[in-house]
Amino acid sequence: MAAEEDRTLVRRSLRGERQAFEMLVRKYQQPLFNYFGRMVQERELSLDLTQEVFLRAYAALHTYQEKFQFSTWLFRIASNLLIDHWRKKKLPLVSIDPNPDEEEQQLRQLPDQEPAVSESYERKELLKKIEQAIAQLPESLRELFVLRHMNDFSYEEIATIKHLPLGTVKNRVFQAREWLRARLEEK
Amino acid sequence: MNCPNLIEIYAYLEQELSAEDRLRIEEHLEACPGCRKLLAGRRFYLESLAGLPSLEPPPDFTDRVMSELPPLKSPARLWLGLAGGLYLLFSLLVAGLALGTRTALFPVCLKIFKGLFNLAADFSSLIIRLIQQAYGIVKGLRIFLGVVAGLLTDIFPAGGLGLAALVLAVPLSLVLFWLLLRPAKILSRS
Repeated sequence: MAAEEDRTLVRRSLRGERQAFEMLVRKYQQPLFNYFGRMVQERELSLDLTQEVFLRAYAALHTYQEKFQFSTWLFRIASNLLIDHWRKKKLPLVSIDPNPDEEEQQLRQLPDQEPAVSESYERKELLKKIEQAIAQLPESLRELFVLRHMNDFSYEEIATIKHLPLGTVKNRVFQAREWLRARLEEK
Repeated sequence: MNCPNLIEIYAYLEQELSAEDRLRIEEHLEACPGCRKLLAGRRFYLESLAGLPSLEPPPDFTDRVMSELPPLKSPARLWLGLAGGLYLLFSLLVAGLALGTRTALFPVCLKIFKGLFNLAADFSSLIIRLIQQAYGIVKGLRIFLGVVAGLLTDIFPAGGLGLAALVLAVPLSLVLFWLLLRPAKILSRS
């Protein structure tokens, strides 16, 4: 099992086996780079942030609790690092506190019938348009969307990473998808 | 049944629904062309999202990370925690004093400091007195032995000092022995 394998690698790393941590770096560098790449849209900055996550994780490895998955623990570090980065850049942070009434209203307002995206674009063109639209997603929605669709985390895992209720995560991912889809329909 | 909303459509596509809800939606889809079209559109959309290319870090990225790793920290030990706690307490006391009378913490810190200082001062004076007492006893003993030695030197000729000590030691020992045993005899008599 991957989670148990990660725990074993962490234990070996804590015993001073650098090779074990190197295996963790090899395993998670691509998912983390994917995450940061989609979030900050700059290759070099994404590489720096990915590296910083590993350095922070290594320095704090003794605090890792095995009751959590290593992947969610690592992405929690990544998410906090991203928040720090945005604060330093003084980007406005959109609150993602749950507001069920507002969400319910937004869901009701969504049209049930609309033209399919497949009718508008060829697949290759569609992927390009999606990439462009992801870059325009509000950060708070984009992060949950990326964790779900780029990193393939389950809703439960995203809730653990972001310390959010499961229902909020599901609703936010839904909003992000439909926001994105609406942008695709506009063009 | 009513048409499922989009949340249910996505949940159906992501296999997040219970078996009962799944069956309910499937039954509806068979009878509703509009929902089938909606489902097909969202399925294509989700498949497109899954088809987005992954971003790849450069091949030497692992080496770059490994070369920058900080020293590994071992799990905290009890003594380190204790030392840290004491240091924190000390820091707080110093900080409390340093902040001066403007903070409410100052009198408390001052009181603790005074208590610690008085304790240390009392302990020091006790040690000094003990040393003084010990020094006085040693000094008195040295004077007494000096006087005795002087008397013995005057009474006995040189070289006879050892013999004189032996002569004096035997009756003195007998006297001491008698003094030690005497109370017991008195008690037994009574």
